[in-house]
Amino acid sequence: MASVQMTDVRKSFGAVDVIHGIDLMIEDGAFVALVGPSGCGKSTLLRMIAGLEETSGGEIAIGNRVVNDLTPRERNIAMVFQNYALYPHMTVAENMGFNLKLAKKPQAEIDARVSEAARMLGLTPLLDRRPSQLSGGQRQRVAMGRAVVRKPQVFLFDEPLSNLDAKLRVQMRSEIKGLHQKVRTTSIYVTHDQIEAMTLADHIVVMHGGRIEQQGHPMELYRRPANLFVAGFIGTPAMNFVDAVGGSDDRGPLAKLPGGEAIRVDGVRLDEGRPVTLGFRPEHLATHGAGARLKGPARFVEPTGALTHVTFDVGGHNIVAVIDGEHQVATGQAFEVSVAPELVHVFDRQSGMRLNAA
Amino acid sequence: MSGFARGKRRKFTSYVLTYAGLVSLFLVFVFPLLWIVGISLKTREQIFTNPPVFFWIPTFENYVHVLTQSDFLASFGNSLVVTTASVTLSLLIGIPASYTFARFHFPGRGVAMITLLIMRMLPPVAILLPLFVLFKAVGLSNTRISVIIAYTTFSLPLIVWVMKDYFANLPKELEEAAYIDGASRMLAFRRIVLPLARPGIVTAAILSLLLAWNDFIFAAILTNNATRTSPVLLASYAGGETGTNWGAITASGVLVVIPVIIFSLIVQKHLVQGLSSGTVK
Ligand SMILES: Nc1ncnc2c1ncn2[C@@H]1O[C@H](COP(=O)(O)OP(=O)(O)OP(=O)(O)O)[C@@H](O)[C@H]1O
Ligand SMILES: [Mg+2]
Repeated sequence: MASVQMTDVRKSFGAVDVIHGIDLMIEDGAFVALVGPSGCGKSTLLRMIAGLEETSGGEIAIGNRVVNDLTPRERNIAMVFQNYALYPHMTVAENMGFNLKLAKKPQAEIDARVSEAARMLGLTPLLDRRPSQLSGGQRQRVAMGRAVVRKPQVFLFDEPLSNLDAKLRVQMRSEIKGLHQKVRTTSIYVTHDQIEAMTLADHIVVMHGGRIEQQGHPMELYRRPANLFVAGFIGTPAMNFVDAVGGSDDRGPLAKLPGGEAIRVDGVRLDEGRPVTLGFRPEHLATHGAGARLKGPARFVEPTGALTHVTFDVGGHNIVAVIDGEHQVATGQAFEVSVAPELVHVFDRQSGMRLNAA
Repeated sequence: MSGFARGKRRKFTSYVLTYAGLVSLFLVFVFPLLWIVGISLKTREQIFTNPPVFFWIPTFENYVHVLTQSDFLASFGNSLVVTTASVTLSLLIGIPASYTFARFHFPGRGVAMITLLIMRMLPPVAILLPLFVLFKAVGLSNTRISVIIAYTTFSLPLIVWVMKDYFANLPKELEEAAYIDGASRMLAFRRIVLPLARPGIVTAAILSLLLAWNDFIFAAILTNNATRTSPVLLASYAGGETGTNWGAITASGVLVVIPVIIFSLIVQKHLVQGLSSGTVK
């Protein structure tokens, strides 16, 4: 196990800069998720840590040892690929033991470690099969087994669950979490699924265009997104955004919607007329309670069981609210919710940066 | 009811048609071979009987003749040597070359691939005469080495074009997984890439084997009586003072086909595809 430290890490493919200076400290034993939209450089960064991609600039250290010029073999990391990359001509046991075999460990030790990992992952009855004889979930588990067997310093995962169906994905997610709680190996997990990131990681790094937008504890990112990008990326359904202008009255700061409604905000000073963007999370819009009120006709009503998603129109903006499933709403009907001042996110409209204080 | 009956009849018809097709195909391909085997088992008189005899007591005198009275064994040995050597050499050079073409980007890659193809598209005679002059200049004329070099030159483009696609289609992640498992590039190539490319390698080997084993024109020009290969010897049975020796031609023809058949039987199980299915979704 080891920490991973990146200092001003850069990558370009020819003339194209893909990673623009990443600084990131990953504690020993942490589970870190790298999230971001497609093409933001998550896989590239992971592959640089693995040594599969050369580093164009900066420094990567694993356990205080700079690894920039080391081969993947010398880095002692394990990686789980999106398509699993199991060796088709080897059995499950051979796949899992390949690293130990290359390290010239005695066969008895290889067998012992493979069967231990197989037991941990429920693969014992499958050890003699070939990858082509396994289901998607089983292959996924073998790929994890191959990583676990070798007791590496760091686990790297590149969207390991994206080839599985929804149900299996949820199941494997908890298995990965359980596995990490057992072995406590530093893990870096790439995904574009923010739910996966939220549920698995104790530290999330949100990337966008080859830069880190924000990093921190999942709830920190959820509660205090640093900018519009993170605010829109973390949380489902996504945060609602409405343009407004700043102002205040004798009770404190306000933001005025184009339709004239005033929304009371908290933890921010707004000059009169300052252009801002307000953000409200759908789940923070309440059908009862105090706070500024938003109202308009309901456009879509989507029941999901316990919760219902209502899309309604506020001065030409579509706003989504997540409300209790028992609450009756009909399409076209007037709909009204309130939002507490401390749950209104205020962003500068130009820079997109968060304006609310802590 | 009628739907079921009609379905059954249609099935029967398609069954008959399928087999009729297969049988005629079989006859078209196998008939010449059977005819040759037939002639090789006849005496000189039986061969020239008109109308041909269809039932006779087979004789092995033609086989005895080619195996004892002629240069057959020497030429057969030459064929074995030049074929084995050129196939081995072609694979040894061709496999790493095609892997390089498949996995590395380097300036001139496309041009090099096209050049290989163009060389292969030239008629053999166009290359043959310059080769003949060249071998003479370096003192290799009438040697088996010259034939081996010529065959290798000629089968390399074939191998590279077949194998390059094969390597390019193997998921790169398999090799990357091997690097992460602690393999060097060389080791990953040996332990992961080569085993998975086996069907492709076998195909390439068959192609270059047939090229060398069946060649007549290169060997006819580049060898002498001591170094000639079987096809050249076979051709020498035709004409001559005693007339064409059909018995000897057909008997040696049959003997020459046997190694090819044995080889095909050995390698065909390696041709089974789909080995790489199930690695990558
Ligand atoms: N070998 C390469 N050559 C040139 N450009 C590349 C190469 N690999 C990746 N890129 C570019 O680098 C950028 C980042 O790619 P990367 O694969 O890291 O994205 P990602 O965040 O993993 O996306 P996804 O979620 O789709 O997997 C992309 O714009 C991609 O086109
Ligand atoms: Mg990716």
